[in-house]
Amino acid sequence: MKPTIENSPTRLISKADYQRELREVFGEELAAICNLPYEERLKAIADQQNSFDTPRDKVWPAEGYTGPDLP
Amino acid sequence: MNTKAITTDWNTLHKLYKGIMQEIQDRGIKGLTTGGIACVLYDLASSTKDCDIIIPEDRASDIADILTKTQINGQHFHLTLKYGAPLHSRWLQGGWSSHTFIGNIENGIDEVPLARLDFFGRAPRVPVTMPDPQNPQYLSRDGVARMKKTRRERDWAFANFLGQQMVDRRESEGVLHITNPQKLMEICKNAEIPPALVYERPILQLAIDGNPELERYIKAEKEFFTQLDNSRLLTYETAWIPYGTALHKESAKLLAMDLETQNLAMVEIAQQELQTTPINTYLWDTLVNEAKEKTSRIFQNIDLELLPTPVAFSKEKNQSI
Repeated sequence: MKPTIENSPTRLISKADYQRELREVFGEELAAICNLPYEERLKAIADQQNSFDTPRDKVWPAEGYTGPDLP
Repeated sequence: MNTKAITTDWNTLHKLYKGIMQEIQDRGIKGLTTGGIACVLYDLASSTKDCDIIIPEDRASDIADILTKTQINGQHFHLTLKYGAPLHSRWLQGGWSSHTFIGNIENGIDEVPLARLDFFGRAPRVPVTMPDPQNPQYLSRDGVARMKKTRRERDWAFANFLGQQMVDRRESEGVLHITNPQKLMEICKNAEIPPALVYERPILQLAIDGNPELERYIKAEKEFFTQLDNSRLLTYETAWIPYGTALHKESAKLLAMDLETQNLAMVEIAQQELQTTPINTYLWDTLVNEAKEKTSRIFQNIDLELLPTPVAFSKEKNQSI
């Protein structure tokens, strides 16, 4: 009988595998930011976002979406 | 009208959002922050300029009051005239979201929005909205992961990592969100998966059986959610057009008002022009079936029974812990 996820005595997600996937998907820089403590993470994200903050249309609207076409 | 430019600095925006979240809490409103800001809390680095909050729809007028009283460098919040519904329970209950922004208005058009705050009453694809036990102002990882199953490819990475974090935290629902086939197979090999989760995400049976088709079905599942999200948004966009046309005739006047007055004026227009619930249960079932059919045209010979049947949005108000 297998244990449930709640009761598993061992880790079901390897930390190393998680980190490897994080680096593969997000890239080294963002993956490193993910591992910072919360306040430092906020600061790192702020620094990163402020570095590419212009022109405005790169970030606004978030997905370049301006609403449906009106007749 | 104040047209002075304000900073786009993320620290400033984040402080603004945190202040509003705090005000919502101070008024006893069970608001739940979700989206990119929740992902940052959950150890994921998300580039986000906006803030998404789920609110109890019967407190929509309180939110309008908070936003009306909020300002930054003399700039005030407005409701956007580009999409979404007014901040009112009738439309929030029908799955609409309300979109607000702060920034300059030029010629009656919100051309220079610098911060954006979006409100949901009923979170898409989330059956019950639950707070995170450690951070009760935020939607749970499970809720955020469900909301991230959108038509935007980049959202899926967040769902996947949130699912993995949940499993690591011994939350079995995490397997509903993992899209890495090897990891899903490994978890299902080493742990008993409750039948209720297999019912909700049928491809878990493939992971339990060690079936090599799992990877193909995970891709099909993403395609299905993409198709479904497209259909959902198209339905709301189509329903919005008569309302949007009416709004645009009044745009300069509406954007010159304070948010509370603007909202009341937009409710008046919405009562005439905006359907409250564009997607009812019957239509949702149709959209789900159509999305499955479209997926089967892309992924040949798949068993449609293995694709999920998500809810349109939460049926109940926010749950408190």
